[in-house]
Amino acid sequence: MIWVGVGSGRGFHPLQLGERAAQEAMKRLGKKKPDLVVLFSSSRIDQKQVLQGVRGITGDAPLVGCSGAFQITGASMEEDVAVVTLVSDAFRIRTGLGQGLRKDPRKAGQEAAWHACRDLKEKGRFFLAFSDGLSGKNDHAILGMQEVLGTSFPIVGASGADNFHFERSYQYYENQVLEDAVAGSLFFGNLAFGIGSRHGWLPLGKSRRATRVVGNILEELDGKPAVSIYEDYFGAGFYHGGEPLARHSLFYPLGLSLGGEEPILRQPLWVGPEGSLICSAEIPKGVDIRLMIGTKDSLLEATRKACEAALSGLAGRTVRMVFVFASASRKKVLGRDSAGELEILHRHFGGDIPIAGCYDYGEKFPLGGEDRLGQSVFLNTSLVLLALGE
Amino acid sequence: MLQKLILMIILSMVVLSNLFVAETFWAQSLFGFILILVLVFFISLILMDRDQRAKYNELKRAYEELDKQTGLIVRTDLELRKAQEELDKRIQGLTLLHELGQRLNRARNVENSFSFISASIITKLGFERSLITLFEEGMQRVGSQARVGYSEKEVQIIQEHLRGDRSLQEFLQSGKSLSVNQKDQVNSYSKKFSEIFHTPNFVLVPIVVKEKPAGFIFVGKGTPYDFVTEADREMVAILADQMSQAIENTILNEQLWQSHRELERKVKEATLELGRANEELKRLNKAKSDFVSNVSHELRTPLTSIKGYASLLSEGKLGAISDDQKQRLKRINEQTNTLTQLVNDLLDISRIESGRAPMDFQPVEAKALVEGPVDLLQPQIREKKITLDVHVPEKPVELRADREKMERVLLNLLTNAVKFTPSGGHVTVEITPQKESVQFDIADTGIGIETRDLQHLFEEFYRCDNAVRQNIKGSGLGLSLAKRIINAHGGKIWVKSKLGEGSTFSFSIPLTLKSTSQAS
Repeated sequence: MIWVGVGSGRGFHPLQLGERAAQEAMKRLGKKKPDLVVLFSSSRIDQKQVLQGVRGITGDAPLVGCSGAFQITGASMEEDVAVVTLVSDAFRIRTGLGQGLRKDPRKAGQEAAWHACRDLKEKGRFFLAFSDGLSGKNDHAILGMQEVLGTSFPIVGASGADNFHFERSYQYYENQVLEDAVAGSLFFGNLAFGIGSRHGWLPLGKSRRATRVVGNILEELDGKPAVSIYEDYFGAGFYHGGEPLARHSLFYPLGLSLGGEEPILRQPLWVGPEGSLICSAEIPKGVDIRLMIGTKDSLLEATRKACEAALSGLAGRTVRMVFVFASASRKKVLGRDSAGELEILHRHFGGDIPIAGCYDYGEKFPLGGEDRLGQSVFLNTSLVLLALGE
Repeated sequence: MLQKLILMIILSMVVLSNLFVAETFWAQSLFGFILILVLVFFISLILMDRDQRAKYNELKRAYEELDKQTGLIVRTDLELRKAQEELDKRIQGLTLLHELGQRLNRARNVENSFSFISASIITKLGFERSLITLFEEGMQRVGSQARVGYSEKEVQIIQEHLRGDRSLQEFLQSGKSLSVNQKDQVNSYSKKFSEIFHTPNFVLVPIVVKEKPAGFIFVGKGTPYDFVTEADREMVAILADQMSQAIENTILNEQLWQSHRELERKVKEATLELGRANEELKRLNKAKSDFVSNVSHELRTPLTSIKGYASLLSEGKLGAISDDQKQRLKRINEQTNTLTQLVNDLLDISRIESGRAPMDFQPVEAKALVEGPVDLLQPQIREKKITLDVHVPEKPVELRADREKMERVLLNLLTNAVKFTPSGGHVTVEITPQKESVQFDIADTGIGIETRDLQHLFEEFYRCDNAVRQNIKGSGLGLSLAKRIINAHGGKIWVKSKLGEGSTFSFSIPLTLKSTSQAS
């Protein structure tokens, strides 16, 4: 049996917001102590106070989470704080933390996974991970986790976001507010879950080949400075010097043809020296890249498909809650119609199913296709749904 | 192309060399033919290749052309997206301003108005920083303030800057709003305020109350890349208007509230005064009742003695008396009886008033209440040749009443009817059962009562003018006593009369006893 509580709130009094959201989430559990607390919070409110507010109510229950541009619940896609409390007599949860993501992402990923699974006798089911969304190294962190958990072990989660400033993102682990970290929780035991992901962006314009790449820095496309892909279409000077390119690439990410059903998306965060693009994760050299464009309809269609995929993973089991990790770009593109996304979720999973998550700067998702052998990858500008059931 | 040319030359050379070494005509002809074929084949191949290349180039041009058009699509999409964002922002802003306006209209005071300007409203309007300030004493002192995205210390620094600089004062007095983006700062205000508020892109609008600057609304974007638009400026200007209106309303409300308080205070004072007067009246009334009661008691004893001695004298028990003396003694006896009746009435009134005469409620038949008084008045009725009709319902009507006192009421009313009805007149008594009460009507064809007297008729010692003029005797207490007795039964008494046409006195008594109430 799974018991889930979700609480949320809006406002500028972080301590009260944390307390009230946690109280609401705890109320649904009766007197049970949560096995896991997941916190999502806006970065513009005092992070320590909001966590203090939550911990004041949930006590020393294991806690993970990250900051989001907006927080998502079944009631609204624009909350400042959302708290999830989970208890089950069928499955168990262990948490882990890895730090120093920007310096050594692989090690940070390994540590988070290792802390969660060490001395564990039984095999885990999936790893729910939250990381720094502005590190540009999330793909390596995932590789680190896979080195501990297994190459095809499902890793799902979000990379923290801020308020579209692209300056700082936060991760929460127990009593700590962290940056540059990975906080994860390993679920093991008798648990049904389904994962679905789609992005709905469509390729536009001609394909360009990544001719020079260093890690997550895309230096040249077709032998020209990589920023030309944007300059060619938007015109030179389309962004202001020093401005994060992410403010524009939110709407127009890059699509990498890696052979899956949809191109894998990468979001350039900054324009680097000599017109290079500093991306959110590594770009394979020689890959064909196209500019992507999204419409409200195509994005909502992707939501529908992601819901169907998550439900199909549950294979008819009863849904108990749904985690939603949606790219902040979706919020920007959908604008006031983001409520339509929530409607689709309700329509597929049921109107009263607890829903929680955040608008983030990156998602983690196990690709189901044979090409990737079910390996989990880092995604951008996508929607990832994790449905828990029994 | 080059490869094809080389291959053609090599093959041609091979065929040509074979042609030269061929010994027979047929062999030479064959090699010549082959040479021609090779040449034709390669020339065709070269021509086809040129055609394909032209087509390829054409396709490539089209592809590049399409890619250029992609730029157009992207730029159009970008423009549409910006327009959509602006539209969304306006819709959301207007919705918020509408909600805020409704709340501000209900604000009780300025502080209350400020409490509605929450951080979430500012952020939903698309800003991350805001400082809303109201001045007191003509811009000399900061009064109410709401801040978002600034710490208390930051606000203090801003205030210090603003105090030492006249630009804000000048700007507010201009009454105009200011919308600034760092990239296109145009005037001296823009740069100065951008520095003071530490915000590159902002909107600053004065709050004007009664045509005087009373404060300002400052809102700013969080990063240098988020620009303020004309829509932002319009929204903030609307917000400032709403604030101004709310402040004016709260000032008016405050004045109204003060007036109400003053009025309430006066009403309270008047009520207290009336209460005190009422208490004094009660005290005086009690003193009067006590006095009447005491005097009546004191009067009864000498009256009894006078009556007794008058009787003794009249009966000649104290010596023979002349007829003249007898006549005088008879007058003394009659006057003593009248005085005793007056004293008894006064005593009863004061007893009922003070609650010292409890009612003895018993079940009684309505008809029985009338019989006694009617019998008692038969001599006068006969003497004045008055016709008396008594109408009673067929079914007996039972009520709970103090029989003795009710008979007194009926005797009083019947006595009056007989007294004020001229000889040969008509008096009717009628008992009518109602739903929850029984009504008694005593009607006469007497002299009637003037309208102006009707409202005073049940007051103590009140005597109608015409009764006085016609020298009809009466104490002026009978109807007052009757009213008190009816009231004590929870009933009511009233009169209808027209001068010269007679009067009808009516009263109704509840069938079941209720708590006593005032008669109408």
